[in-house]
Amino acid sequence: MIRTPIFIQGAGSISPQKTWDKKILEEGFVAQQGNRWPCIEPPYSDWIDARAIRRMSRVLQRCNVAAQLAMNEATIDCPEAIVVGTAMGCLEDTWSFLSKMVQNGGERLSPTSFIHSTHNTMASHLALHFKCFGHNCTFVHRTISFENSLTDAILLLEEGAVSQVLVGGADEVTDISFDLLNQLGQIKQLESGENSPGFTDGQPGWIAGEGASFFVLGNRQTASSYARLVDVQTGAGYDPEEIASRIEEQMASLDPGKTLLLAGHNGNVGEDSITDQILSQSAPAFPVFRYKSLCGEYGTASGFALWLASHVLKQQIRPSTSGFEPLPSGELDHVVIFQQSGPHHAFIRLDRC
Amino acid sequence: MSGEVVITGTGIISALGLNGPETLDAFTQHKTGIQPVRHLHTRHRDDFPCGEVKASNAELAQLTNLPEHLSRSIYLSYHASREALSSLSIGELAGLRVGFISASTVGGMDRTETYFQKALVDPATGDVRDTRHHDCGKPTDYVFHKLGLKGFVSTISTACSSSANAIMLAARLLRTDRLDVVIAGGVDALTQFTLNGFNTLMIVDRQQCEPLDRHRRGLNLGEGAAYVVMMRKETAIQLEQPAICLLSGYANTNDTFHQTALSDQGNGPFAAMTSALNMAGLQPGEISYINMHGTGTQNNDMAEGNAIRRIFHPVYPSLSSTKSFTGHTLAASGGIEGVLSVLAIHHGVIYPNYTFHEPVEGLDIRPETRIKTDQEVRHVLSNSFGFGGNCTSLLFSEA
Amino acid sequence: MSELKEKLKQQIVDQLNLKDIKPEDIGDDTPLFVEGLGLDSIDALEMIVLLQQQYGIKMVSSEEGPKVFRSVNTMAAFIESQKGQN
Repeated sequence: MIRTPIFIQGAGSISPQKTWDKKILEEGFVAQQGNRWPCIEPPYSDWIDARAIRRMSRVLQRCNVAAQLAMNEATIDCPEAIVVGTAMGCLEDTWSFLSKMVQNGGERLSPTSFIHSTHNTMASHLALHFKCFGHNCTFVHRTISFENSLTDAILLLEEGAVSQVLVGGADEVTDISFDLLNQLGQIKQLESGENSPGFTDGQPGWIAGEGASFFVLGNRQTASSYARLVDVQTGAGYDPEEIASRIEEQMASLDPGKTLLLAGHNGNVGEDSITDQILSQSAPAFPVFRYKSLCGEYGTASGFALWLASHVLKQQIRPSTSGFEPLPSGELDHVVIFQQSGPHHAFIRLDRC
Repeated sequence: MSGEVVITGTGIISALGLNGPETLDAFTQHKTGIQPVRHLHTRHRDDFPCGEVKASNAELAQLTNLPEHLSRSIYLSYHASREALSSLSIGELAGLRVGFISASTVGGMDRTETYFQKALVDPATGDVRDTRHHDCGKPTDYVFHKLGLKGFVSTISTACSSSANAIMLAARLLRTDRLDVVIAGGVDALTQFTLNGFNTLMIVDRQQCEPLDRHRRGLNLGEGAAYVVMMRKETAIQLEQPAICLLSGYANTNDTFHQTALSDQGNGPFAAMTSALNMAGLQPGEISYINMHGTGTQNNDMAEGNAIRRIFHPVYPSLSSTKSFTGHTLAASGGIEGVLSVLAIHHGVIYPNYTFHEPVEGLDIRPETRIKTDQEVRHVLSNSFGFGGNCTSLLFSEA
Repeated sequence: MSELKEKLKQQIVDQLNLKDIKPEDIGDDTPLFVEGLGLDSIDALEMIVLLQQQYGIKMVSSEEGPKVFRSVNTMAAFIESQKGQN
């Protein structure tokens, strides 16, 4: 429940799809290969000057450009507040400092990787870069980090503290983190060069994705606005039946013919069966698209889903990857983003504006 | 917006003690918690004294009745949150919308270090499952589950202001009637990562730190956890929970000057304190005590001091940096100092600096040097400022 | 000495990842901080690491920094003086 009108005034995303280039809306998404999907990177030096870029890790560069994309669309130079979600933070710098610390026994360590290893580096870098003196916060709660950030942004707008806020989510996969996840048995095992199995192979494991997605949320509907943000909810500790009844309540007022459900299936058969159970109880009539088939699994993948949802409503595009039922061709008025992961579930609703 | 937000419970664990009474006792006896390192495995053991919690992981496991080999953050967080909830049973929360908002900068980094130390020497050794504790949300989820809670959960990481922001978010979720009861605060365990990291910045004092002093040499790191139980006044009445004090004001700003330094004039701290005062409708003269961020670094104490001078000069409230007793507990510090602020109002005490000789150059700010008891403590301002320019001030007022 | 200075310039560019500056752009007496190359306090800490890694010189406090890191000339002089002491 959001008590004030909130609009997505701008959206920017760096992801395993070429989302930073608007041509993707005509050209469509590409099918991915392998079990690790890296971002398709924009030419960062076109966006960030050489002096600023020298200390920025890849994930910071992605945050910076995704934020600029969103702010350009919203035609603002500086947000009034900045809120960022990241499940794992700046991993490249974290591993770099940690490895050197262990190898050098604590001697001759570079301060820069330590400074940039802290989770709030993304939000504080953006504050410094855009000279934003306002509210600045970073949420680091696993798969609901991005939704937590949206909640904070919604509160700011509801409180009347700001008229617009930059909010985003970002995570990176690095060689070390991918290796650790692999060792932990979490990554889907594929033959090299094998096409990704469209998330329906019935096998355990998921595919590692990454990305940075940023949005300008504001209290006015502008020419650039994509959609109205109607609800964001998270919950922890509920069993599938309880989640299903919570979701059913949310879906009750929506027309299945005018609604798309973006679901957080990640291809891991065990987790997906829980999601399926919840959705078959709570939203059996609604068309479902598994958005992680485009961006892979990462802590703030729902940021990519919000980017996708924004374009589904504004440009009325229909995402597709092979292996899924076709999506409704009629006009869509609502998109619901749902994910269930471990003890958490999250729900975001957008309405066409 | 409905209702005033009240604090009904507190829990704290730090170098000063395992709970609230032990913590207050340490101040009364003027006993610093900053001591040579005993539990953290580090080559810097003899270089830097730290504010360590005086218990090994095995002792903490026993104390909390949790399994061994969890991350130290889990033990600290669970212990302090249980103390905070001691006057409430989970059964009483049935039917209420409950939240647990924690804060962390290191999460289970200690377990990740354990793995890397083995695996980098010989990839065949080391238990990769240790890294499952790595992320900051893990301790929060573990404790949330262990407390038997269901509802809203979140973890904030804004460097040294993290848990002040957790408390602030809790208040906002209560005021907008999204939640009914929230346990909010934060935790950070000492790790090699943070000790080595701060050492690269050359801001770690090799002796007992001397914040707010002209001859300050840097900070001592500490560890701990602290949580407050918060609810709207009417919920407290309904649950028969006496209100210890109000959270009357809060503000989050960004100094936007440098990744690791505050502006000389303390613009972010000035804005945070001023906004918190405005929100509470208080004049600077009404503040009884300021629990300063007061890390003991050249930069912080100068910037924070300047911001305080801009607001309070020429008549300053009582003030001090309790970090001279606890060390800088990073993500836990806003929670620890928030709980100390609540206890200050509750028990009518004002905390001292551990030592003080001469004010910071150009400033006329002199902290208390001995605990003051039997005081009328009506309004306490608690400052938490972090890397990345993250500044948060909380204002606690008598109920 | 001049060989040392040329080496230092390359090391500074590498350590600080100065993408827009070539070693030959740095004059022996160019101020490295603020008005010159515009370096900041984090760079000063990186230079301390540089001295330790490349020259085995350990600075325990950052207080000497401003004097030592004023320019390539002052850095070179400092390195030479430390050699003399060992």
